[in-house]
Amino acid sequence: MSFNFETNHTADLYPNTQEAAHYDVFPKAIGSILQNTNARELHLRFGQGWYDADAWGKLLRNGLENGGTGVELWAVIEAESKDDAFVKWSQLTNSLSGLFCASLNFIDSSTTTSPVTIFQPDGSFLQKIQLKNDLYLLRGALPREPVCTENLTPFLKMLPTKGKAGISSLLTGRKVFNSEWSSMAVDVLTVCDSPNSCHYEIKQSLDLIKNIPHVLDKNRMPIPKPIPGDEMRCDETKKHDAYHCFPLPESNKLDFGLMDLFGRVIHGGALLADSPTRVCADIDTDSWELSVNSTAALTSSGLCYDLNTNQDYDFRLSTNDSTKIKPLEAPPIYASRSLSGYSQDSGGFRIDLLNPTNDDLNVVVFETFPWFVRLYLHTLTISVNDTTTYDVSDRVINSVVNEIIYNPAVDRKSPSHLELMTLIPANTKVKLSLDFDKAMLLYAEYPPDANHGFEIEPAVISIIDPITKEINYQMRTTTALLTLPTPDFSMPYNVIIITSTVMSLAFGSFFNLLTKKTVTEEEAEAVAEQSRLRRITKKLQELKQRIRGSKEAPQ
Amino acid sequence: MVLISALVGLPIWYFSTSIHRARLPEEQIDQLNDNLLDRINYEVPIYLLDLPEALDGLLEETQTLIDSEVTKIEGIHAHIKLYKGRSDQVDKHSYKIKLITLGPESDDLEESVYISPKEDRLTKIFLSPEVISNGLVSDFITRVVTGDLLALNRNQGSHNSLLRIPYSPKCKVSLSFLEEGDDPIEWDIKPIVKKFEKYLSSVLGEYANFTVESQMGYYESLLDTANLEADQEEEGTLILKDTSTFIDYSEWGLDQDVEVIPSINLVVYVPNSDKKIRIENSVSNSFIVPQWGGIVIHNQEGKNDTLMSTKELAPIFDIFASQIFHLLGAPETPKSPFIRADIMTRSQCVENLVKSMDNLISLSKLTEQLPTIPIPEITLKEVDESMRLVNESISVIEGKEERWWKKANQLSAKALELSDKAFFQKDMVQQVYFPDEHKMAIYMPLLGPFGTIILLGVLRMVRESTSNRATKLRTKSEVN
Repeated sequence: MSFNFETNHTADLYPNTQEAAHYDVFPKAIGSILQNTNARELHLRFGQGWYDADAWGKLLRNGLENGGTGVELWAVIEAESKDDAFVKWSQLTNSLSGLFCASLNFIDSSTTTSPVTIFQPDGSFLQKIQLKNDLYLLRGALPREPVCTENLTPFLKMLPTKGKAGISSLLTGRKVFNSEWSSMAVDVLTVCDSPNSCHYEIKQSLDLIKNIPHVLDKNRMPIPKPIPGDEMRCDETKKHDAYHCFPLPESNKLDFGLMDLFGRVIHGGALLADSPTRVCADIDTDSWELSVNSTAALTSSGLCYDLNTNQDYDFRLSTNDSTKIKPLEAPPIYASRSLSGYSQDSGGFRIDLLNPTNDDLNVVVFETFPWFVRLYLHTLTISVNDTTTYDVSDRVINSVVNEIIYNPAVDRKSPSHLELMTLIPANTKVKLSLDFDKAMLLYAEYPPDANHGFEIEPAVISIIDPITKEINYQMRTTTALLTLPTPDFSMPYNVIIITSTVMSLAFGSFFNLLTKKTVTEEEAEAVAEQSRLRRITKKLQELKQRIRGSKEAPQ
Repeated sequence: MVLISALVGLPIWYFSTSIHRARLPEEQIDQLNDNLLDRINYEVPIYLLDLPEALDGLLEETQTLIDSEVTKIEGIHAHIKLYKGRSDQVDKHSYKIKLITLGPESDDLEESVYISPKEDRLTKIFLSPEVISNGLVSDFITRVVTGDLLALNRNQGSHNSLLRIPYSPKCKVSLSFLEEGDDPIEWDIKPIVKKFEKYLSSVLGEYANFTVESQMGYYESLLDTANLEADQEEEGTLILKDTSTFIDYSEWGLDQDVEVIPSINLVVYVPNSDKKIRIENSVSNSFIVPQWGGIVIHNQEGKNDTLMSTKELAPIFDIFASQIFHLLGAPETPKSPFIRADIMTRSQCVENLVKSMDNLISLSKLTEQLPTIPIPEITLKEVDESMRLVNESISVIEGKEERWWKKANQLSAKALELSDKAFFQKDMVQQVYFPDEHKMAIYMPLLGPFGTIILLGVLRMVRESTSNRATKLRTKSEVN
């Protein structure tokens, strides 16, 4: 399920402060952020869940508007120097963090990279206008960020309808984020028609994968309960009576509407828009049926409906055989990344790439690792179709990996940034593997639950067109959870206590040596005779004897 | 071992536990603060235009009267100085008073005052021959100057009102045009917003730098209808009794400002065309939200078209202008916005100076009272710079240039900003919350056993010495 929104805004690139900035349908908050930070392009992705490419096929819109798990941000900033750009970038992340209720402000220099081959700006506006300064591309990601309702609400508020009309009226946090996979994207581009008229174009999209039988089940029974006996469908070829039943597999009949999926219906079209709100169904019409529940008249073209009144609309889909669906388009590449190794101090990455197509593919593997992952590029090995393994020193490797762009990490300052330009032959599986060492962190650098591990952001796999150098398809692997050696956090205090104890022991013996005098045994005995303790024990002994004596007396 | 601990251990311990404290110029701060109020002695020149030679005595007479009036007022205030001037020589932005004698033939023989609402800041005083003959002219001018023109005794109250938005040298005016429905209104706002912006910069340009931003909002439904009562007399009209819950800040997208500079929010709300909303007891159908902004409800009185013309918007912007003055804490009188802005700028300048000195005084007190907080060099730099600006601003005031308050205000605002920065320095506060118990917990394992050993040793020593004395006494007595 995919929701797409687009709005435009006319703005000067170099605003005259004497002129009032005016925002109509374009969100003012985004506009002022862009003006303050000189960002010419802004891309924000929120993602949740794992995309099962085997079951769900190709990503929508070739994956160009989907994000990996967590939050990802990249922007093209116009600035005088790299440092200036970085200052603007921090300002941008801080402002967006407030706006989207996400911890984007944690993107600092140790997570920021400047990609070289992918995420490149759409430079078409550059041909129309002469910029005053240079453009800098910066990117950062937070794989650990949970995406939830508090991110959806600002997303909806940026729309002119504020989620009150049009298809956005379906979206509520409760129903959006219980899907199998979800991805939200905000893209702001600068488009110039002539040197004097430029405008921002904002594109917001939200993609969901929903398990419909699961959603319907949950609607029927929020708490799973066994099916009552009279509703049970038993396999009649087998033994069945009041006590025995071999249940049949679930029925393939499905009948559901938007109300079932989202708990709401569409509250009319977004009448503000130039083109009416359009709802399209992409179904196999032989076995599926689409019906519309609305009091308003509908204009339709094929399976698309234009909503141009402010009445409520509900769409229903029904089928007798839910297995008959439109054939899925297979993705042009399958990729996965996993961690290898088991020790506390080192490990490895393994990236599997499978090209199922009959063409050779130019694939860019983009990865950034935090500085505490100390990558060894010389350990890069490649195995093709699980048969032979080549080292990085082998000549053969050049036929697969054409070029490597690598910026090594600087401790606590910048992450390592790796771009592998590979050529994956048709119908071939390529396995890349790399080793790394784990660095020890400073005591204060560990997050509150250090034993949970550290998320490594998804690798971005892009298929590049060999001629136009444009990205044809883009996908992201899952995040990797890396465990680092974690210290015992009470350690500093233990150290303090132990040293203190040793020191006081030493001090005690020195003190005794200095202050105590040596006496002969007799003298000591004599002193001991007089001591209070001795006197008390003596008295006690006397008392004991007296009691014993009185006990013996009656006999 | 003692040597090692004294030569190696002690210095290491000292350097690793000591904190950097830059020396603040406390005495200078105190000195400046003590002299501040005496030094701020500002003068507002007023020109009496085209005064004939014969009336030179009037000038002096009026000056003495004004001075005696002015000394009655407490606190920092303007010293008014009257000058003679010719209308073609005096700066067009200065205060000017023109005396006009009403001829005996005019019908209206009442003396009156007319204060120009334009940039020329001209006051015309119409005098009847009767007043002149009774020699009350100087008295009359004094009353006009202290009472109406500079509102000396009244501007203190409004300046500290609860409505007022805290001062900032930069300020954003955020205009929002919101409508309840989805039927887009064609707002013809470009020309009027431009005009409004021009007006702000010409009137309030010296007070602060204003930028204007506007946005549209659709589908801004009302948050609660409980406070809306149907009007008995008029069909379809709702009366808003309580304005406190009318605005839905988060849903109307009014809370999305991500900038640091404060903003004044001005909102036009247009309800659906099938209803009208009237605010109870409000003629202009508007209200002010203290320290936030103002809102005007504009009803589409049975209009069929969705066009909102400049003509229709003009009264709304008039309300906005007056709301801005209220929100900035401008005095109620005189009617001229230019003179009101001048009064505001002057008192703001003084307030900035006083506030920045307050900040510096508090800072020096704070560092005195909390010996554990570090004072970084940057704080010292900011303190020095802030004091320099305060001094500079005062010297501008003393310089008595024409319209000095513009420059003095800018300098004082900078001084305030820097002193704020110095006071709220992040590095300083960080360790304030490092409690002494923690230090105790670190030193306890070391000092505990040491202390116990020494304490027991001392006890033993005391006991031994007393018993020794006792045995000595005993032996002595035995000997005797």
